[in-house]
Amino acid sequence: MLSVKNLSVDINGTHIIKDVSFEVKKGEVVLILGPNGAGKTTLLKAVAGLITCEGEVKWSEGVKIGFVPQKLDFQQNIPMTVEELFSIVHGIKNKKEIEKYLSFSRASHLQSRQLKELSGGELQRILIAFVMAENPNVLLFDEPMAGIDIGGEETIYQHLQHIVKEHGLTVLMVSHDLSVVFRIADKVICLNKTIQCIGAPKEIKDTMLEDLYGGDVALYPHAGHDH
Amino acid sequence: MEAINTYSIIIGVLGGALISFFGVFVINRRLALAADAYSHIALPGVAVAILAGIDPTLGALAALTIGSFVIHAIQQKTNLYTDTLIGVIFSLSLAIGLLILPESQLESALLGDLTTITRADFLLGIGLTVVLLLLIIKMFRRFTFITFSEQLAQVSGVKTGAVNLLFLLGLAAAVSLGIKVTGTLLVGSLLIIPASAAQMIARNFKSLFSLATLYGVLSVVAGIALSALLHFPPGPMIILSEGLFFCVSFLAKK
Repeated sequence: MLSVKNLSVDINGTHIIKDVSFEVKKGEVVLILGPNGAGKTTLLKAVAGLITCEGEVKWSEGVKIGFVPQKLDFQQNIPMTVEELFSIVHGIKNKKEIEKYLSFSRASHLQSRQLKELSGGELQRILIAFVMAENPNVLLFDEPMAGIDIGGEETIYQHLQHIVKEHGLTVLMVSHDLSVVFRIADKVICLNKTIQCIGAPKEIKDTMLEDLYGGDVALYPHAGHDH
Repeated sequence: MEAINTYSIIIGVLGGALISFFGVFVINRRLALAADAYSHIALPGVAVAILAGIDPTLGALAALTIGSFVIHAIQQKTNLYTDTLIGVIFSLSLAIGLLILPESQLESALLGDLTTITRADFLLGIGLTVVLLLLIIKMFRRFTFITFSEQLAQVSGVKTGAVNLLFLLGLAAAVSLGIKVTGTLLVGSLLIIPASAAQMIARNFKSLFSLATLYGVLSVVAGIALSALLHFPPGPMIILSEGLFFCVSFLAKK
Protein backbone atom coordinates (compact mmCIF):
# COMPACT_ATOMS: atom_id res chain seq x y z
CA MET A 1 0.00 0.00 0.00
CA LEU A 2 2.79 2.39 0.97
CA SER A 3 6.51 2.16 0.49
CA VAL A 4 8.75 4.82 2.04
CA LYS A 5 12.46 4.78 1.23
CA ASN A 6 15.18 7.04 2.65
CA LEU A 7 12.73 9.81 3.42
CA SER A 8 14.34 13.00 4.75
CA VAL A 9 12.86 16.40 5.48
CA ASP A 10 14.97 19.51 6.07
CA ILE A 11 13.41 22.77 7.17
CA ASN A 12 15.69 25.83 7.09
CA GLY A 13 18.77 23.59 7.14
CA THR A 14 17.62 21.51 10.14
CA HIS A 15 16.97 17.78 9.78
CA ILE A 16 13.43 17.13 10.97
CA ILE A 17 13.49 13.49 9.87
CA LYS A 18 16.33 11.58 8.24
CA ASP A 19 16.57 8.38 6.19
CA VAL A 20 13.21 6.96 7.23
CA SER A 21 12.20 3.75 5.46
CA PHE A 22 9.21 1.49 6.13
CA GLU A 23 6.36 -0.29 4.40
CA VAL A 24 2.65 -0.43 5.14
CA LYS A 25 0.38 -3.20 3.89
CA LYS A 26 -3.26 -2.73 2.93
CA GLY A 27 -5.51 -2.85 6.00
CA GLU A 28 -2.67 -2.33 8.49
CA VAL A 29 -2.98 0.04 11.42
CA VAL A 30 0.40 1.64 12.03
CA LEU A 31 1.14 3.61 15.18
CA ILE A 32 3.91 6.21 15.09
CA LEU A 33 5.44 6.89 18.52
CA GLY A 34 8.05 9.39 19.56
CA PRO A 35 8.80 12.28 21.93
CA ASN A 36 7.91 15.91 21.17
CA GLY A 37 9.94 17.22 18.23
CA ALA A 38 10.64 13.70 16.93
CA GLY A 39 9.19 14.54 13.51
CA LYS A 40 5.97 12.50 13.76
CA THR A 41 3.70 15.19 12.27
CA THR A 42 6.32 15.96 9.61
CA LEU A 43 6.41 12.27 8.64
CA LEU A 44 2.62 12.18 8.24
CA LYS A 45 2.64 15.37 6.17
CA ALA A 46 5.47 14.05 4.00
CA VAL A 47 3.68 10.78 3.19
CA ALA A 48 0.51 12.79 2.49
CA GLY A 49 2.47 14.88 -0.02
CA LEU A 50 1.77 18.12 1.84
CA ILE A 51 5.43 19.10 2.23
CA THR A 52 8.46 18.70 0.03
CA CYS A 53 10.88 15.95 0.98
CA GLU A 54 13.81 13.92 -0.28
CA GLY A 55 13.58 10.19 -0.86
CA GLU A 56 10.72 8.08 -2.13
CA VAL A 57 7.09 7.90 -1.05
CA LYS A 58 5.19 5.42 -3.18
CA TRP A 59 1.47 4.72 -2.72
CA SER A 60 -0.49 1.98 -4.52
CA GLU A 61 -2.83 3.11 -7.26
CA GLY A 62 -6.30 4.35 -6.32
CA VAL A 63 -5.32 5.55 -2.89
CA LYS A 64 -7.52 8.26 -1.38
CA ILE A 65 -6.02 9.81 1.73
CA GLY A 66 -8.03 11.34 4.56
CA PHE A 67 -5.96 13.46 6.94
CA VAL A 68 -7.03 14.50 10.43
CA PRO A 69 -4.55 17.16 11.58
CA GLN A 70 -3.56 17.70 15.19
CA LYS A 71 -4.09 21.43 15.49
CA LEU A 72 -6.64 23.15 13.36
CA ASP A 73 -7.06 26.78 12.39
CA PHE A 74 -10.76 26.24 12.95
CA GLN A 75 -13.08 29.23 12.37
CA GLN A 76 -15.56 28.17 15.01
CA ASN A 77 -17.33 31.50 15.27
CA ILE A 78 -19.16 31.17 11.92
CA PRO A 79 -22.92 30.81 12.38
CA MET A 80 -22.97 27.37 10.77
CA THR A 81 -24.57 24.11 11.83
CA VAL A 82 -22.78 20.77 11.70
CA GLU A 83 -25.26 19.68 9.02
CA GLU A 84 -24.47 22.75 6.89
CA LEU A 85 -20.75 22.01 7.15
CA PHE A 86 -21.32 18.60 5.58
CA SER A 87 -23.91 19.74 3.03
CA ILE A 88 -21.99 22.80 1.78
CA VAL A 89 -18.39 21.62 1.87
CA HIS A 90 -18.94 17.95 1.00
CA GLY A 91 -22.18 18.46 -0.97
CA ILE A 92 -24.00 15.79 1.08
CA LYS A 93 -27.64 16.89 1.12
CA ASN A 94 -29.11 13.69 2.55
CA LYS A 95 -29.55 14.04 6.33
CA LYS A 96 -29.40 10.26 6.87
CA GLU A 97 -26.06 10.11 5.08
CA ILE A 98 -24.66 12.93 7.23
CA GLU A 99 -25.91 11.07 10.30
CA LYS A 100 -24.12 7.92 9.09
CA TYR A 101 -20.76 9.74 8.94
CA LEU A 102 -21.35 11.44 12.29
CA SER A 103 -22.11 8.06 13.86
CA PHE A 104 -18.55 6.97 12.99
CA SER A 105 -17.30 9.20 15.78
CA ARG A 106 -20.43 8.96 17.96
CA ALA A 107 -21.46 12.49 17.05
CA SER A 108 -24.93 11.94 15.51
CA HIS A 109 -26.56 13.90 18.33
CA LEU A 110 -24.59 17.00 17.28
CA GLN A 111 -26.01 17.14 13.73
CA SER A 112 -28.23 20.21 14.18
CA ARG A 113 -25.97 22.04 16.63
CA GLN A 114 -24.10 25.23 15.75
CA LEU A 115 -20.31 24.87 15.50
CA LYS A 116 -19.75 27.66 17.99
CA GLU A 117 -21.72 25.77 20.66
CA LEU A 118 -19.42 22.74 20.53
CA SER A 119 -16.67 21.88 23.00
CA GLY A 120 -13.13 21.03 21.85
CA GLY A 121 -13.77 17.30 22.16
CA GLU A 122 -17.06 17.53 20.26
CA LEU A 123 -15.37 19.46 17.46
CA GLN A 124 -12.71 16.78 17.22
CA ARG A 125 -15.44 14.16 16.75
CA ILE A 126 -17.02 16.30 14.02
CA LEU A 127 -13.63 16.62 12.36
CA ILE A 128 -13.10 12.85 12.28
CA ALA A 129 -16.58 12.34 10.79
CA PHE A 130 -15.90 15.16 8.31
CA VAL A 131 -12.76 13.42 7.04
CA MET A 132 -14.57 10.05 6.90
CA ALA A 133 -17.17 11.69 4.64
CA GLU A 134 -14.45 12.05 1.99
CA ASN A 135 -14.59 8.23 1.78
CA PRO A 136 -10.84 7.70 2.14
CA ASN A 137 -9.22 4.27 1.98
CA VAL A 138 -6.19 5.53 3.92
CA LEU A 139 -6.49 7.53 7.13
CA LEU A 140 -3.68 9.65 8.51
CA PHE A 141 -4.42 10.62 12.12
CA ASP A 142 -2.25 13.11 13.96
CA GLU A 143 -3.13 12.57 17.61
CA PRO A 144 -6.82 12.32 16.75
CA MET A 145 -7.97 11.99 20.32
CA ALA A 146 -6.23 15.06 21.75
CA GLY A 147 -8.82 17.05 23.67
CA ILE A 148 -11.34 14.21 23.92
CA ASP A 149 -12.15 13.01 27.42
CA ILE A 150 -10.89 9.56 28.41
CA GLY A 151 -14.29 7.85 28.26
CA GLY A 152 -15.01 9.34 24.85
CA GLU A 153 -11.54 8.48 23.68
CA GLU A 154 -12.00 4.83 24.50
CA THR A 155 -15.30 4.84 22.62
CA ILE A 156 -13.79 6.48 19.55
CA TYR A 157 -10.94 3.97 19.45
CA GLN A 158 -13.48 1.15 19.60
CA HIS A 159 -15.37 2.78 16.75
CA LEU A 160 -12.20 3.38 14.83
CA GLN A 161 -11.34 -0.29 15.16
CA HIS A 162 -14.80 -1.18 13.86
CA ILE A 163 -14.59 1.26 10.91
CA VAL A 164 -11.08 0.15 9.98
CA LYS A 165 -12.16 -3.50 9.84
CA GLU A 166 -15.47 -2.88 8.11
CA HIS A 167 -14.09 -0.58 5.42
CA GLY A 168 -10.71 -2.27 5.07
CA LEU A 169 -8.96 1.02 5.84
CA THR A 170 -5.25 1.46 6.16
CA VAL A 171 -4.30 3.75 9.05
CA LEU A 172 -1.17 5.67 10.02
CA MET A 173 -1.64 7.24 13.41
CA VAL A 174 0.43 9.43 15.69
CA SER A 175 -0.59 8.99 19.30
CA HIS A 176 0.77 9.09 22.82
CA ASP A 177 -2.03 6.92 24.18
CA LEU A 178 0.01 3.74 24.15
CA SER A 179 -2.22 1.49 26.20
CA VAL A 180 -5.39 2.25 24.23
CA VAL A 181 -3.86 2.20 20.77
CA PHE A 182 -1.99 -1.02 21.53
CA ARG A 183 -5.19 -2.95 20.96
CA ILE A 184 -5.72 -1.84 17.39
CA ALA A 185 -2.17 -1.32 16.07
CA ASP A 186 -0.64 -3.97 13.81
CA LYS A 187 2.70 -2.21 13.61
CA VAL A 188 4.56 0.33 15.72
CA ILE A 189 7.18 2.76 14.40
CA CYS A 190 9.35 4.44 17.03
CA LEU A 191 10.63 7.71 15.62
CA ASN A 192 13.09 10.26 16.90
CA LYS A 193 14.26 11.99 13.70
CA THR A 194 15.33 8.52 12.52
CA ILE A 195 13.57 5.20 13.04
CA GLN A 196 14.56 3.79 16.45
CA CYS A 197 12.51 0.62 16.33
CA ILE A 198 9.82 -0.93 14.16
CA GLY A 199 7.65 -4.03 14.46
CA ALA A 200 4.46 -5.57 15.82
CA PRO A 201 3.42 -4.21 19.25
CA LYS A 202 4.48 -7.43 20.99
CA GLU A 203 7.98 -7.07 19.52
CA ILE A 204 8.43 -3.58 20.98
CA LYS A 205 10.15 -3.96 24.33
CA ASP A 206 9.73 -1.51 27.21
CA THR A 207 13.46 -0.78 27.10
CA MET A 208 13.09 0.46 23.50
CA LEU A 209 10.37 2.88 24.61
CA GLU A 210 12.46 4.05 27.56
CA ASP A 211 15.27 4.80 25.11
CA LEU A 212 12.79 6.61 22.85
CA TYR A 213 11.08 8.73 25.49
CA GLY A 214 13.98 8.86 27.94
CA GLY A 215 11.86 7.78 30.92
CA ASP A 216 9.87 5.09 32.61
CA VAL A 217 7.26 4.10 30.05
CA ALA A 218 5.69 0.83 29.05
CA LEU A 219 3.52 -0.48 26.27
CA TYR A 220 0.92 -2.79 27.74
CA PRO A 221 -2.52 -4.04 26.82
CA HIS A 222 -5.35 -3.46 29.23
CA ALA A 223 -7.79 -6.10 28.21
CA GLY A 224 -11.54 -5.83 28.71
CA HIS A 225 -12.55 -2.51 30.24
CA ASP A 226 -15.04 -1.68 27.51
CA HIS A 227 -17.29 1.33 28.02
CA MET B 1 -26.33 67.57 -7.15
CA GLU B 2 -27.67 65.60 -10.09
CA ALA B 3 -30.74 63.41 -9.72
CA ILE B 4 -30.43 59.70 -9.14
CA ASN B 5 -31.27 57.79 -12.33
CA THR B 6 -32.44 54.25 -12.98
CA TYR B 7 -28.89 53.15 -13.77
CA SER B 8 -27.72 54.34 -10.35
CA ILE B 9 -30.47 52.47 -8.53
CA ILE B 10 -29.84 49.19 -10.40
CA ILE B 11 -26.07 49.34 -9.93
CA GLY B 12 -26.49 50.42 -6.30
CA VAL B 13 -28.84 47.55 -5.47
CA LEU B 14 -26.84 44.89 -7.36
CA GLY B 15 -23.59 46.17 -5.84
CA GLY B 16 -25.09 46.36 -2.34
CA ALA B 17 -26.38 42.78 -2.58
CA LEU B 18 -23.28 41.11 -4.04
CA ILE B 19 -20.69 43.01 -2.04
CA SER B 20 -22.52 42.32 1.23
CA PHE B 21 -22.79 38.64 0.28
CA PHE B 22 -19.05 38.47 -0.45
CA GLY B 23 -18.42 40.38 2.80
CA VAL B 24 -19.55 37.32 4.80
CA PHE B 25 -16.42 35.49 3.61
CA VAL B 26 -14.29 38.57 4.22
CA ILE B 27 -15.25 39.06 7.87
CA ASN B 28 -15.10 35.34 8.67
CA ARG B 29 -11.62 35.09 7.19
CA ARG B 30 -10.76 37.94 9.57
CA LEU B 31 -9.88 40.18 6.65
CA ALA B 32 -12.30 43.00 7.52
CA LEU B 33 -9.72 45.73 8.03
CA ALA B 34 -7.42 44.27 5.39
CA ALA B 35 -10.27 44.40 2.85
CA ASP B 36 -10.88 48.03 3.73
CA ALA B 37 -7.21 48.79 3.12
CA TYR B 38 -7.26 46.62 -0.02
CA SER B 39 -9.94 48.86 -1.55
CA HIS B 40 -7.45 51.75 -1.50
CA ILE B 41 -5.20 49.84 -3.92
CA ALA B 42 -7.75 51.05 -6.51
CA LEU B 43 -6.73 54.69 -6.10
CA PRO B 44 -3.76 54.86 -8.52
CA GLY B 45 -5.89 53.08 -11.15
CA VAL B 46 -8.71 55.57 -10.62
CA ALA B 47 -6.19 58.43 -10.89
CA VAL B 48 -4.67 57.17 -14.14
CA ALA B 49 -8.15 56.55 -15.62
CA ILE B 50 -9.30 60.08 -14.74
CA LEU B 51 -6.16 61.59 -16.30
CA ALA B 52 -6.56 59.42 -19.42
CA GLY B 53 -10.27 60.24 -19.67
CA ILE B 54 -11.47 56.64 -19.38
CA ASP B 55 -13.93 55.08 -16.94
CA PRO B 56 -12.44 55.15 -13.38
CA THR B 57 -14.03 51.74 -12.65
CA LEU B 58 -11.82 50.21 -15.34
CA GLY B 59 -8.78 51.85 -13.76
CA ALA B 60 -9.79 50.59 -10.32
CA LEU B 61 -10.31 47.06 -11.62
CA ALA B 62 -6.91 47.09 -13.36
CA ALA B 63 -5.09 48.37 -10.26
CA LEU B 64 -6.84 45.86 -7.95
CA THR B 65 -6.19 42.95 -10.32
CA ILE B 66 -2.49 43.82 -10.58
CA GLY B 67 -2.40 44.33 -6.78
CA SER B 68 -3.97 40.88 -6.24
CA PHE B 69 -1.38 39.14 -8.43
CA VAL B 70 1.48 41.02 -6.72
CA ILE B 71 0.18 40.07 -3.25
CA HIS B 72 -0.27 36.45 -4.34
CA ALA B 73 3.21 36.27 -5.92
CA ILE B 74 4.96 37.69 -2.84
CA GLN B 75 2.93 35.43 -0.56
CA GLN B 76 4.07 32.32 -2.44
CA LYS B 77 7.73 33.28 -1.92
CA THR B 78 7.62 34.54 1.67
CA ASN B 79 6.00 33.67 4.99
CA LEU B 80 4.04 36.94 5.19
CA TYR B 81 0.29 36.88 5.90
CA THR B 82 -2.27 38.22 3.40
CA ASP B 83 -3.27 41.17 5.61
CA THR B 84 0.38 42.19 6.09
CA LEU B 85 0.97 42.23 2.33
CA ILE B 86 -2.25 44.13 1.74
CA GLY B 87 -0.92 46.68 4.26
CA VAL B 88 2.30 47.10 2.28
CA ILE B 89 0.71 47.30 -1.19
CA PHE B 90 -2.13 49.54 0.00
CA SER B 91 0.22 52.14 1.52
CA LEU B 92 2.33 52.26 -1.65
CA SER B 93 -0.78 52.48 -3.85
CA LEU B 94 -2.27 55.26 -1.78
CA ALA B 95 0.98 57.25 -1.97
CA ILE B 96 1.17 56.82 -5.76
CA GLY B 97 -2.53 57.67 -6.18
CA LEU B 98 -2.27 60.85 -4.10
CA LEU B 99 0.82 61.95 -6.06
CA ILE B 100 -0.70 61.58 -9.52
CA LEU B 101 -4.33 62.51 -8.88
CA PRO B 102 -5.20 66.19 -9.55
CA GLU B 103 -6.52 67.81 -6.35
CA SER B 104 -9.74 68.86 -8.06
CA GLN B 105 -10.58 65.18 -8.73
CA LEU B 106 -9.63 63.88 -5.30
CA GLU B 107 -13.05 64.22 -3.66
CA SER B 108 -14.91 62.46 -6.44
CA ALA B 109 -12.32 59.61 -6.50
CA LEU B 110 -12.43 59.18 -2.73
CA LEU B 111 -16.18 59.56 -2.22
CA GLY B 112 -17.57 58.32 -5.58
CA ASP B 113 -20.83 59.57 -6.96
CA LEU B 114 -23.75 57.31 -7.66
CA THR B 115 -25.55 60.22 -9.34
CA THR B 116 -23.12 60.38 -12.25
CA ILE B 117 -23.55 56.84 -13.56
CA THR B 118 -23.65 56.83 -17.36
CA ARG B 119 -24.81 54.10 -19.74
CA ALA B 120 -21.18 52.98 -20.17
CA ASP B 121 -20.71 52.81 -16.35
CA PHE B 122 -23.93 50.87 -16.13
CA LEU B 123 -22.85 48.26 -18.67
CA LEU B 124 -19.47 47.90 -16.97
CA GLY B 125 -21.23 47.51 -13.62
CA ILE B 126 -23.48 44.78 -15.04
CA GLY B 127 -20.39 43.04 -16.44
CA LEU B 128 -18.70 43.10 -13.02
CA THR B 129 -21.90 41.83 -11.38
CA VAL B 130 -22.06 38.86 -13.75
CA VAL B 131 -18.36 38.03 -13.21
CA LEU B 132 -18.70 38.22 -9.43
CA LEU B 133 -21.91 36.20 -9.43
CA LEU B 134 -20.37 33.44 -11.56
CA LEU B 135 -17.29 33.36 -9.34
CA ILE B 136 -19.39 33.07 -6.18
CA ILE B 137 -21.56 30.29 -7.67
CA LYS B 138 -18.56 28.35 -8.98
CA MET B 139 -16.36 28.81 -5.90
CA PHE B 140 -18.92 28.89 -3.08
CA ARG B 141 -17.98 25.45 -1.71
CA ARG B 142 -14.24 26.12 -1.81
CA PHE B 143 -14.55 29.67 -0.41
CA THR B 144 -16.61 28.20 2.44
CA PHE B 145 -14.03 25.46 2.99
CA ILE B 146 -11.03 27.85 3.24
CA THR B 147 -13.09 30.18 5.42
CA PHE B 148 -13.90 27.32 7.77
CA SER B 149 -10.32 26.00 7.83
CA GLU B 150 -7.67 26.70 5.21
CA GLN B 151 -5.49 23.97 6.71
CA LEU B 152 -8.19 21.31 6.49
CA ALA B 153 -9.00 22.40 2.93
CA GLN B 154 -5.33 21.98 2.04
CA VAL B 155 -5.07 18.47 3.47
CA SER B 156 -8.31 17.57 1.67
CA GLY B 157 -6.65 18.36 -1.63
CA VAL B 158 -8.00 21.89 -2.26
CA LYS B 159 -5.43 24.01 -4.09
CA THR B 160 -5.58 26.77 -1.49
CA GLY B 161 -3.08 29.05 -3.29
CA ALA B 162 -5.25 29.20 -6.40
CA VAL B 163 -8.46 29.56 -4.37
CA ASN B 164 -6.91 32.45 -2.41
CA LEU B 165 -5.95 34.19 -5.66
CA LEU B 166 -9.51 33.79 -6.98
CA PHE B 167 -10.78 35.15 -3.68
CA LEU B 168 -8.61 38.27 -4.07
CA LEU B 169 -9.79 38.67 -7.69
CA GLY B 170 -13.39 38.37 -6.45
CA LEU B 171 -12.59 41.07 -3.94
CA ALA B 172 -11.18 43.16 -6.81
CA ALA B 173 -14.47 42.83 -8.73
CA ALA B 174 -16.53 43.59 -5.61
CA VAL B 175 -14.49 46.67 -4.71
CA SER B 176 -14.50 47.98 -8.31
CA LEU B 177 -18.28 47.67 -8.33
CA GLY B 178 -18.58 49.26 -4.90
CA ILE B 179 -16.41 52.24 -5.80
CA LYS B 180 -19.22 53.45 -8.06
CA VAL B 181 -21.61 53.24 -5.11
CA THR B 182 -19.63 54.77 -2.25
CA GLY B 183 -16.20 55.78 -3.59
CA THR B 184 -12.74 54.42 -2.72
CA LEU B 185 -12.76 55.70 0.85
CA LEU B 186 -16.00 54.08 1.99
CA VAL B 187 -16.25 50.94 -0.15
CA GLY B 188 -14.81 48.74 2.63
CA SER B 189 -17.91 49.45 4.72
CA LEU B 190 -20.11 47.67 2.14
CA LEU B 191 -18.00 44.56 2.67
CA ILE B 192 -17.90 44.76 6.45
CA ILE B 193 -21.02 46.34 7.99
CA PRO B 194 -23.96 44.35 6.49
CA ALA B 195 -22.10 41.05 6.98
CA SER B 196 -21.16 41.81 10.59
CA ALA B 197 -24.69 43.07 11.36
CA ALA B 198 -26.06 39.77 10.01
CA GLN B 199 -23.47 37.68 11.86
CA MET B 200 -24.67 38.99 15.24
CA ILE B 201 -28.11 37.41 14.88
CA ALA B 202 -27.86 34.67 12.20
CA ARG B 203 -28.59 31.15 13.46
CA ASN B 204 -27.03 29.34 10.52
CA PHE B 205 -24.97 29.85 7.35
CA LYS B 206 -27.95 30.23 5.04
CA SER B 207 -29.59 32.92 7.16
CA LEU B 208 -26.23 34.67 7.51
CA PHE B 209 -25.89 35.15 3.74
CA SER B 210 -29.57 35.99 3.26
CA LEU B 211 -29.56 38.60 6.01
CA ALA B 212 -26.25 40.19 4.93
CA THR B 213 -27.56 40.51 1.35
CA LEU B 214 -30.88 41.94 2.55
CA TYR B 215 -29.10 44.50 4.76
CA GLY B 216 -26.88 45.48 1.81
CA VAL B 217 -29.84 46.06 -0.53
CA LEU B 218 -31.94 47.90 2.07
CA SER B 219 -28.98 50.13 3.00
CA VAL B 220 -28.48 51.20 -0.62
CA VAL B 221 -32.22 51.86 -1.14
CA ALA B 222 -32.51 53.74 2.16
CA GLY B 223 -29.28 55.66 1.47
CA ILE B 224 -30.42 56.74 -2.01
CA ALA B 225 -33.84 57.79 -0.67
CA LEU B 226 -32.32 59.78 2.20
CA SER B 227 -29.83 61.36 -0.17
CA ALA B 228 -32.65 62.55 -2.47
CA LEU B 229 -34.68 63.76 0.49
CA LEU B 230 -31.97 65.55 2.44
CA HIS B 231 -29.74 66.58 -0.50
CA PHE B 232 -26.63 64.85 0.85
CA PRO B 233 -24.26 62.70 -1.26
CA PRO B 234 -25.55 59.09 -1.49
CA GLY B 235 -22.28 57.35 -0.45
CA PRO B 236 -22.20 58.51 3.18
CA MET B 237 -25.99 58.14 3.48
CA ILE B 238 -25.70 54.48 2.39
CA ILE B 239 -23.02 53.84 5.02
CA LEU B 240 -25.11 55.54 7.72
CA SER B 241 -28.06 53.32 6.75
CA GLU B 242 -25.79 50.28 7.16
CA GLY B 243 -24.88 51.62 10.60
CA LEU B 244 -28.58 51.78 11.43
CA PHE B 245 -29.05 48.11 10.50
CA PHE B 246 -25.98 47.25 12.56
CA CYS B 247 -27.70 48.89 15.56
CA VAL B 248 -30.94 47.02 14.79
CA SER B 249 -29.05 43.69 14.83
CA PHE B 250 -27.26 44.64 18.03
CA LEU B 251 -30.53 45.46 19.75
CA ALA B 252 -32.22 42.33 18.36
CA LYS B 253 -29.41 40.11 19.62
CA LYS B 254 -30.57 38.12 22.63
